[in-house]
Amino acid sequence: MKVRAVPVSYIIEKMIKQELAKLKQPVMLKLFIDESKELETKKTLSILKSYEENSNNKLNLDIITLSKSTDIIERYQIERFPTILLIDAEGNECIRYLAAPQGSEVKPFIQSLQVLSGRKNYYEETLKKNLDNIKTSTIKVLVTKSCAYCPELVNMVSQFALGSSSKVKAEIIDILENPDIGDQYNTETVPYIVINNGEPLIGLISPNELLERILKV
Amino acid sequence: MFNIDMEGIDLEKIYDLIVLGGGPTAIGCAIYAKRFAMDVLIVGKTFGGLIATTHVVENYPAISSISGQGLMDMFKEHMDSLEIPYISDEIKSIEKVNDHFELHSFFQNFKAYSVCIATGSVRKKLGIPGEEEFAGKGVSYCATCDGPFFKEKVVCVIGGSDSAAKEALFLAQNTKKVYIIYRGEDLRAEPINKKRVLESDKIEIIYKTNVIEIIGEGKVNSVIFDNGKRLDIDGVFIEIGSIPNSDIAKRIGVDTNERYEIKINRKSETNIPGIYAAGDVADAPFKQAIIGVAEGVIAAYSAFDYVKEMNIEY
Repeated sequence: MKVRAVPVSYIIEKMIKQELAKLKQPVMLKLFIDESKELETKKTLSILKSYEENSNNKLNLDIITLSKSTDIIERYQIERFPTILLIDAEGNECIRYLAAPQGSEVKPFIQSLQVLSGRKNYYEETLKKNLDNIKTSTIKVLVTKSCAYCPELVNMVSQFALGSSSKVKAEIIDILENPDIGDQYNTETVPYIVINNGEPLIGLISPNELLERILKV
Repeated sequence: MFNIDMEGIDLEKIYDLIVLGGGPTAIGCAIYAKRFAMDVLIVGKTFGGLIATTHVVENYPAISSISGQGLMDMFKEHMDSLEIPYISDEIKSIEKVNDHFELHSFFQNFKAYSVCIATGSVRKKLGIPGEEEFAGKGVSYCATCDGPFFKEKVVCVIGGSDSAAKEALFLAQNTKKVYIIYRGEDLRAEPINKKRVLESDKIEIIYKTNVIEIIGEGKVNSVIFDNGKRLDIDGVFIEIGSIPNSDIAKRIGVDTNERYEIKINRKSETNIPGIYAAGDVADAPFKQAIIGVAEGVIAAYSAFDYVKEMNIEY
């Protein structure tokens, strides 16, 4: 049985243009590539280039190649290629993507760019109030492209990372593209959240459940 | 977008209607409310709802075939064209204060003259040994989410509904073999899907059988039936229906039935004036997106009349 194509890609394309046009301040994206991985590099590069082209010069893509820039690759502890980093105004890494921001993952990716660009973050006020009690955390979100629940969770974790004054970092990992990471956590389900390599959270969780997990008490 | 963008959201104002939920029912309700010039806000835990996990929808009128996610992209586009704000959050309590309701989440408080509960349902669990232990390690409740992990493997779907048949058909595209394990004697699927299942050379149905235990070592490797037999398997997809997400309704005294569904009348009204319910969380006998949307639309009409009678200026 084949699902007949409907103009969904048109809807996503339209949404990308509309939403990127709302960027206020310039945003920096760093893309780390290994030229020897031609196929993956080409795919990610073309996606990000199309974002850049539709952003009214608000999105600046900094491309860093493995063979030429070992210092910066070491500084950001880049171990996989391609890796995308969303960087705040102070140059701190907020969100790391080991996944191509395409399909349903477009939405949370652009939402993060908008917040980095100056839009208000819904969770920020509460996160700031609890900042002293928030553990320094890296939240890994394991996803696949076909997972319907993943984009909303990716969005939530990303907003936490952007609203927590660098106390929380988000790492979005497509485990079909990085199967060894899926194997490492022995998981066959998504979304799958790991905070500081602790007990996983499986499935969709609410923002207050996530906050409870990153509080010290 | 998930509209975490707060620019269009005024937390001080009293909304005419706040819709709880993120599926087609909630969006259908909000679209109509917006067209009635009501101030409307959607607060949902999951944008898209359960239908977003369906790999193919073929019974939504005017769209012959589309993925659940694709359908919800279209709902989203319609919602965005009307600038309806959506917040990704979970309301924990609702209280009546004077002429309006106050809704509280951990992150924000909201106010509204009327509320539509369209919180849908969650997948039911089997409650058998091994189910919890192997969650995420071979036990799944979402074929579109987790199906790609079982390429060329042997899996089973537990259940006999139309949803179970569709999950099996989706899984059969990439797995080696799919067993449907059903306690009944005949699949309850729509005839078109039942025919597809019966014609598939990858799907085998085991009738009149219950799974009583899921076994594995690190990951699932087999299931045990109530007749004592064992079936070697790599993945177990549980599709035995759903439970309404009606906790918030029960906490504020909204009447529910023995299946925890919110009792509504033909106007989508609950027993509390100003509180409406629609879709899978309500007591309609057939759980379909199109029915949820229709009930959501009726709720919007009713909420409009209710708020209008309060003499509130639009």
